[in-house]
Amino acid sequence: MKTNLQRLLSDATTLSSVPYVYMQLDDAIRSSRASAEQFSTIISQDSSLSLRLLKIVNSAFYSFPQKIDTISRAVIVVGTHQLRDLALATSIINSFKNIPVQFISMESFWRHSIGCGVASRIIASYLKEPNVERYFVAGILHDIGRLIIVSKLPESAEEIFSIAAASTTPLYMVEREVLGFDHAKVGSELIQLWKLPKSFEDIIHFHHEPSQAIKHRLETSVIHIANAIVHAMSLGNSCELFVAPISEEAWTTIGLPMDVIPNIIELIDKQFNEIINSFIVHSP
Amino acid sequence: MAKIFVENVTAEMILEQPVKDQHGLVIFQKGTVVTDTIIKTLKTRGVIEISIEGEGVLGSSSIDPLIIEFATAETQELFRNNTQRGPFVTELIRHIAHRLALRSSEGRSHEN
Repeated sequence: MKTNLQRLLSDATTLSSVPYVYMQLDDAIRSSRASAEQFSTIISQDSSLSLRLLKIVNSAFYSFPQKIDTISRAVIVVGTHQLRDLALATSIINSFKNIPVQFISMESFWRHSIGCGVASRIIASYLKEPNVERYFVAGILHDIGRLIIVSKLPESAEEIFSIAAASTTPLYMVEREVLGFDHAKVGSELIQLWKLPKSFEDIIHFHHEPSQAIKHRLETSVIHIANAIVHAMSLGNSCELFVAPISEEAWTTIGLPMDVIPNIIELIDKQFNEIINSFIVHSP
Repeated sequence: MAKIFVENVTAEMILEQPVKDQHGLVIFQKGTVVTDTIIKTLKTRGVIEISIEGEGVLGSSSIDPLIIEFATAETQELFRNNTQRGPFVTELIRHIAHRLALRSSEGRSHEN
């Protein structure tokens, strides 16, 4: 019997809700009254988040010439939208830290997701896209639906993993057979429930089939390619045994020349190692 | 004999063994002298590494041939669900195999 997606999602909202700090920061941006001081006050309510953000913006990932020692300084240097998006990513990783999961290593899962975020950000930088941080966050969140499936439907997850291992079929295809939907659909529905930007919803929904993305095709293609590269580099693992089918059309959509591939791989290696310790949630 | 990655192949090298494409089809015979056109064909056809005559030649020839073989096989296996390989996937596989071989080689030299 196929699983009811809506019931799964209503269960999932008990696992984690959109971080309150993100909503406050987003409200501040929308009100057009956002000052560095106001941003700083909101973020400073959560001392652990403040520390993590300062660690991230001071890492070589950003390579700012001077040390940023306060959140209000970070707001000025990094930008309000960017800091809001970083706060979202770090808060979600933190909020999923203790959810009960079997079969997967949370540390490995987040290494893959953060790796995908890093790779997406690098590709977006090559494309000179504005606010590359949203690519970073989209990459981090792209597989979030799998965490919901594994934690809320452990028996189905076990069946999915065992069929995928025996048949070498990509997990998302087996998920569709067993559940009637895949982790990409679950993730996009969760993003909608959380009222996060519509672009995240589309990117996550179509990250395995970017040609189906009517809107946000470029962003979806970037995450698709970044996901494939990071999987191939074996940075963490999202439970897929093999690199899922790659769309050549996605690379064409991105429009970068082939000779940047080794540079992208080299930058991922460098930046991933610099950022991972600021984010990673070590397994208990 | 030395196994080297296609990206390190240069014109005038001589093939020590026949070269097969990703489907096992022989595309160049043993003894063929490599040209720029052949290098382009090797890349287009998804060939990752080849055996050439002589030793101590360029680039990855310093990597143990067994490591190159291992890295190539591992990478091909990782991409087994990508049966229709266009230019991007072909290029990505080559760079991933190269990275894995370099890392394996460095790991071994650290052990020694």
